[in-house]
Amino acid sequence: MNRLLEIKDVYAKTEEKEILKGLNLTVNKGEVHVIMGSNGAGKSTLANAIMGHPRYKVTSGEILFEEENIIDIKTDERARKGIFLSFQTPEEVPGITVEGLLRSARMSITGKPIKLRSFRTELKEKLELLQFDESYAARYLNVGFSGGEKKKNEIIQMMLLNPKLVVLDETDSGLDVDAVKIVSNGINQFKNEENAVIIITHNSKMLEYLRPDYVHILLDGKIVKTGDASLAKEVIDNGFADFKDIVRS
Amino acid sequence: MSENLLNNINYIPVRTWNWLGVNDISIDRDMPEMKPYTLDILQIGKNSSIDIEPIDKMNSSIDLLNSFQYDGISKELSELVKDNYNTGFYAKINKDQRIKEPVTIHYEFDTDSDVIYDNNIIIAEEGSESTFIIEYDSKDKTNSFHNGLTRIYGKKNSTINLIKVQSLSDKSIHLDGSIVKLEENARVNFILVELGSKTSVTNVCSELEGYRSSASVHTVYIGDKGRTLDMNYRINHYGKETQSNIEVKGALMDKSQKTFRGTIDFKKGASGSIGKEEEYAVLLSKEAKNKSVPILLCTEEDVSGEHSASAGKIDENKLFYLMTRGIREEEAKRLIIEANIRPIIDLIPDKNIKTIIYDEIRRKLVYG
Amino acid sequence: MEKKKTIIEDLDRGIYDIKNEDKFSYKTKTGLTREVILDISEKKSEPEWMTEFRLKSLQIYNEIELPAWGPALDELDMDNIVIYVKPDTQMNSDWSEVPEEIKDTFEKLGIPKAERESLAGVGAQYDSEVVYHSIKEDLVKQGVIYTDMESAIIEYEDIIKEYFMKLVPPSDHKFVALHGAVWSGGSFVYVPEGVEVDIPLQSYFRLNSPGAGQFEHTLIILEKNAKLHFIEGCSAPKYNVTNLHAGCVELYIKEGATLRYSTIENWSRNMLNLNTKRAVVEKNGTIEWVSGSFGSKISMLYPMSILKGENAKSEFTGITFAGKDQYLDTGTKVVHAAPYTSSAISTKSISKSGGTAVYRGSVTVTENAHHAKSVISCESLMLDDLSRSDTIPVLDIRNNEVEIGHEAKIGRISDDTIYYLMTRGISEEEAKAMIVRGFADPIAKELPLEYAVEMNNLIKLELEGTIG
Repeated sequence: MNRLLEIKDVYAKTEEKEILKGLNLTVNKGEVHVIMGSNGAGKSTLANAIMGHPRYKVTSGEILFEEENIIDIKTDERARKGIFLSFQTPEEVPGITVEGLLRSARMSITGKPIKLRSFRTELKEKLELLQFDESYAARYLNVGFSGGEKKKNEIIQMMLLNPKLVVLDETDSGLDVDAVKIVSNGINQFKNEENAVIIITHNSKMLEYLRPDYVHILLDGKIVKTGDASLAKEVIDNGFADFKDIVRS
Repeated sequence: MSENLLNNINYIPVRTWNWLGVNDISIDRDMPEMKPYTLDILQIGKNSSIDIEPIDKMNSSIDLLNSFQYDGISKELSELVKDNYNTGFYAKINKDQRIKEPVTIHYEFDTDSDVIYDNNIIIAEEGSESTFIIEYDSKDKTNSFHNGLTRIYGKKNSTINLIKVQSLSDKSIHLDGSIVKLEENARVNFILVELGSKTSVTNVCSELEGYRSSASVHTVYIGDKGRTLDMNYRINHYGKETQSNIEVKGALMDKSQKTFRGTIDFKKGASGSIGKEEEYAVLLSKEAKNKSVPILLCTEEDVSGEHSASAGKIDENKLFYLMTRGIREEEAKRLIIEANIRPIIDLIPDKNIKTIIYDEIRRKLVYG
Repeated sequence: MEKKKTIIEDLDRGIYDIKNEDKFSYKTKTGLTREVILDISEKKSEPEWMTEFRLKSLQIYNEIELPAWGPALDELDMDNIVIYVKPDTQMNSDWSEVPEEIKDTFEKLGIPKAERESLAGVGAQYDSEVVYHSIKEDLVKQGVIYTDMESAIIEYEDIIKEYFMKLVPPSDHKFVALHGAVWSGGSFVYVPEGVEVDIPLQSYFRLNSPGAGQFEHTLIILEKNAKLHFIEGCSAPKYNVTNLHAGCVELYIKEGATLRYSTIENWSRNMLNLNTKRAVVEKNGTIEWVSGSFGSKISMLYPMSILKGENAKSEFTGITFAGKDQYLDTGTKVVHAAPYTSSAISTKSISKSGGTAVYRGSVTVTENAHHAKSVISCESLMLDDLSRSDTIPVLDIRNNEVEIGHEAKIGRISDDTIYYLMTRGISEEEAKAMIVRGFADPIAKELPLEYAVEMNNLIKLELEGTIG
């Protein structure tokens, strides 16, 4: 079975405001999807609906992950099933170290005790890849990190937790040119035929490094157009104005 | 009258070590003989848009006020005002009435009228909006005594802005309490300016009972000579999603002393509430004394409370910078202190009063 | 995410709750009388000045009122407290001579093991008397003294007479007056000039006898440029009657000396813990307090630092965890009494299942303490709406050449943080526990390793079954 995620006619709201209005999306193993849309179109709501944020309520429709409807499943269980969300603004958690979080998370996800030595080696390797100093492992999670460091830290977590489906929510925003390259490099290294990536963005520099298979335009809570990488270029050049007509008609 | 009425007043809701001397304050002064006050406090005509009249037996005993539980500066002193006031006002802002122009009440002391017990009541009806400026000042160097109480009731969606400016003579005693009760979505904003008197004892209590009601208190003070400033503010969060903000800034010179007590009390059930308290004291003299007691009390889980207090001398880098530009030291200090308190003073919607305040500050800081 | 909370009635605190049979060689009658005090003094064969000191303290005790602030102490009835319980053994310096049952208790608490592995010396008090004391040979050679107070008063009478309750006089408050009258046990430590004790000394206090009081006195003197880390641990099994702890700690830190004083207090929930600790720090000296308060029914504990010499420093790091039926009123007092002194206070508190945690503190800067610096930070975490958390700090500043900053925060675990951790596959319950441990982590880092582990276990015990 190749199918990883299937979103069927999903309506979702937050604080009584309907944001997703009949969204459909299918993602297969080995694919890279890009979701583009203007502010307020529902991009973050989509990410949080997939992950099960308690403040975002799916009112109708289905979200199938590996053919199972996950709508009533709690966030941590979705993560254990293999879904990963890279946050637009990652939380700062004083008192919990980068390494401490990863160990707890990995233990929860694999259900097995961690072999400390090989884990440390792996962590060190990923820190190097993302150009972090080794000392970051012992630092409190995201506390005092720059915007770029927080995003890079999300990618390290992704690599060590090895999920099947990754949702990157505006991972490139706030990153400088070098950092985009470093992060993209990390994602490319992670990417294989068995997993899939959904990239949420609205002005993607990252697309130059990550060749998407599909580009979707999300406007007013619905996917209004799907195409290949050239569609992204069109949006970057002309904005979303052309697609707004589709919504209205 | 018994003199111990001025002992152990302005107490905090929870006590701490006695030796620190912050639980309350005692003033070494006899209570004055009571006498009538005859000056006109309301500038009639100017305030024509509002329903305001001198206090009397009728309007001072409306039922609404019976629900006020809080003591003010002390239970006895507040009762004295309620029973024996010699002046005061009663104002009612009608439903949905929005008054842009501030209403000014002026309590002036002179040699003949040197005792004021003012009993002030403001009732803000639903959806109303109003601004009051109450001034307390001395015409001459009279040794005056002020004991005042202002009670405010804010009904649904009302907003009351209350500005009190105190610049009594250096010998005076100033005792001033404000008690506020707010219904749903009502708000009160205090701006308190403390510039004068020998001993100034002020008390503010806001009871945030209604959902999303809010209170703010912004205070500016200048302590000079042998002035004693004693502040005790308390915000009680009862309603859900209520908000409070206390900000106190000032400077202490000469042998002045200040005690600030601020309590934010999150009662059980006040979920989603936010309270903030911030205090900053600039110490300009070696002999000034500065005490701060920023208290947070909490019996509700889902709240967020913060307080901070800091004290120190004037920022030397800023001072140096201004002096390199040829500004005299005293003037530079004034500029820095003014810059610090300006955001609060600028909230006052009356040009004349702002000018008076800045002039007074300048006089104290530069020519004092 | 549906919130549900189950609150368990009481905790199984494992080893801490193991009760031994109440064996003793001697026990006073309950209550506080002149006769009881004379009786204790006689049993201890003390010098006369100490007997007089006790009687004078008793007089002061009878004259002073209970504090007019803080938790209600109604249940304290001195008529029902057994002042003195002498365990059925002598002071031993050989572990094998300690009676089996007592030995077993301390062994379960990990004391002799810790001694073998990581300590320079150990003291163990059982009820009213110290039952074991030891110190490493090389320290003795360097002139370091570590012994029980009873022996000290005989062997080093001049020193004890000069320092005993001079820093904390019996007139200070009611419970120090009580302590002055009935004190028993505790440790005396003396570190000579220039001697640095690299590994910690540890005293452990265990109160086994129901309805008894423990009143140990700890006196530490660090001469010029000396250095020491002293650890104390306290525990007791739970009884249905009120036990009382009113110890007193006096720390004299001379010029350039540094003392770290760490405490993990895990008294049972029937204990009234009314303890007094104070340090006086001379020029260039440092006191570092590390304090964990987990146990007892009521605690009133505010270690005080008097920064007496120029450039003296004080650091206070504390955590308080108040659970069901606990009222833990803790904090610290600092007096900056000399120029260029500095203090740093960092406290965290957690309230849960109806517990009350209060931070009470004061920082005083006297007229001559120019260039004093103080940084204060207090954070409180509320885990439910049954509990209470108060912050009552006082700043009293009488000099303008100062830098003083105070910050406090109160709040709960953020839903966003819980969600973030859950997106990483961590269960809600574990996420909350991780956040609470993280909250306490900066304090845990300051504790000796085995104590940090103990603290994490206590937090885990406290949280199990109560959130999720």
